[in-house]
Amino acid sequence: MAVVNPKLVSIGVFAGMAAVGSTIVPAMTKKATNKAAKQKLTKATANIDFENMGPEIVRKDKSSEEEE
Amino acid sequence: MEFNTEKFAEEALKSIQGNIANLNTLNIIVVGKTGAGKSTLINSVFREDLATEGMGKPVTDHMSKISKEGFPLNIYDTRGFELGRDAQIQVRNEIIETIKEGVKTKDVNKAIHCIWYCVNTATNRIEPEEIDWLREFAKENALTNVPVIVVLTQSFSKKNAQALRQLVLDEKLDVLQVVPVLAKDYEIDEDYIAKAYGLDVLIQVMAEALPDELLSTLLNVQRASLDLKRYYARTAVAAAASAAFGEGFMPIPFADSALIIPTQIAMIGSITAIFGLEVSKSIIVTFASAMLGTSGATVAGRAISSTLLKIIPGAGSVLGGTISGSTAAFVTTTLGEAYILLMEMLWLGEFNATDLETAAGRAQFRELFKERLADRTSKVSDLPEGHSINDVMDLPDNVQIPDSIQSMIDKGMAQAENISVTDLLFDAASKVPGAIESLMGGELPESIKKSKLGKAIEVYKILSAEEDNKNE
Repeated sequence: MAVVNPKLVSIGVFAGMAAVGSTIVPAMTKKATNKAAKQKLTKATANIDFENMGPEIVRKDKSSEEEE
Repeated sequence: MEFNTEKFAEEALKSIQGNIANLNTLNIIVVGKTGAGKSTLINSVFREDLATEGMGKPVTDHMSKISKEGFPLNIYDTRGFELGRDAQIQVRNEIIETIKEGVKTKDVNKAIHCIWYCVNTATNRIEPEEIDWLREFAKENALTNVPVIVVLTQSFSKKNAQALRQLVLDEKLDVLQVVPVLAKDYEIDEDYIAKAYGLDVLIQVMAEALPDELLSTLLNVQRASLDLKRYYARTAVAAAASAAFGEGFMPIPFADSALIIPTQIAMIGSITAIFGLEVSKSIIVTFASAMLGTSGATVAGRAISSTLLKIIPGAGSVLGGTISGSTAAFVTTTLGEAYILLMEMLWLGEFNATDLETAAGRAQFRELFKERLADRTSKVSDLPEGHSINDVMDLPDNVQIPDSIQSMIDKGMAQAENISVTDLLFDAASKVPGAIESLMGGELPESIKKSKLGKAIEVYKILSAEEDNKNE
């Protein structure tokens, strides 16, 4: 019966996990991010008050003008 | 397991470069008469000042394509729209042809994703032929269905902008939205200015209409909305934290370095791509050092957990060295929030990349960063009974739990409203014969003396004993 070297097993498991950690998981999280962001965006956009959009009118900053 | 900040930075840079290289290309057509303010609008919304003289390459009789090497955005600018009905029909035909060609390729990078139809509010009108044009365009676009946004440019008068907006809405055109914008501050008279506005709304409306796979690109190329960048970055952090949560429960001692750290590196790559900033290795090394609280390049594996956890209210002092799912999620969330903070500081110019090249600059960054991080949201989960969070780190009270962690709690990952550090420890100990008894004062089982759980139990007992001594 073949004896399995535990070190080799550890290396194999580690390499497998590293492959998952660096490729599969990031791709999945990216997809999840896009989906979640889209859902939140849809809700947020529905709350925009387009009818009240307009510029803020502010007084000119006289002190910075004088410095110029 | 050793953790090297230099290596971490190298891996993070690779992730950043990978994220940027993999961004899909966003293609937008901008239609409007000369003088509608298209160039100003384009340059105000997007980075890189694309719409300058000579940057457009003619692709049809009436359209030129504005692009830049390495920048994932193409703007198709129309010309001659003001020359009359015939020219307008030709522009429409060319647009439809360009859309159809993009669809034929079945390549998302070649498709047209959005059309901005620009009308100058200052003219106080939209011509009848423009309304006809939009109606006819909608018929021809029925199958391809590219979203059209009517952008009311130069809207320095709210009254005029809203009147024009209503006029357009009353025509019941097939458009996604009518958005008033003012791309640059407008000098009303010698005393008053109308501040620029609406660009962030335009981006948000567009983001909702784009395919999911183009969101990252839009966020990378736009400069109009820091809020949207932050919002999306936080969503990326929540997703990474959820992944780390699952990874943290892997019953293998080095799961953190094989799974969790790559997840965190990918998260950093994703966040950097969202902000669209140039990030050097020295920035990431300095950031990692600031988070770890050490100037050394190499930190022992358990120490990174302990030190990072100390930044998280409540989590660090007891569970230093033990990576469980909840802890991994906490660490990932904190790392992500901190990195978003760094991006914002660079974006707002509160800090320059070159400042980090000197020791004094790096020290200043660390102090400023810690100050700002302490102001950020994080939840005080309870420590061993009677143990005050302020004994562990100087943090203000009354802080909020990050949404990502809250959602995990809501999903029933923990029964109590707050994740108790003590509960986590007892939960882990319950799986090992003799470990619960050791928490109550008994001897630590041989099987876990050298393990992370054993270490955590030792720390817990020390802290509990300290507390008991204080109370006596």
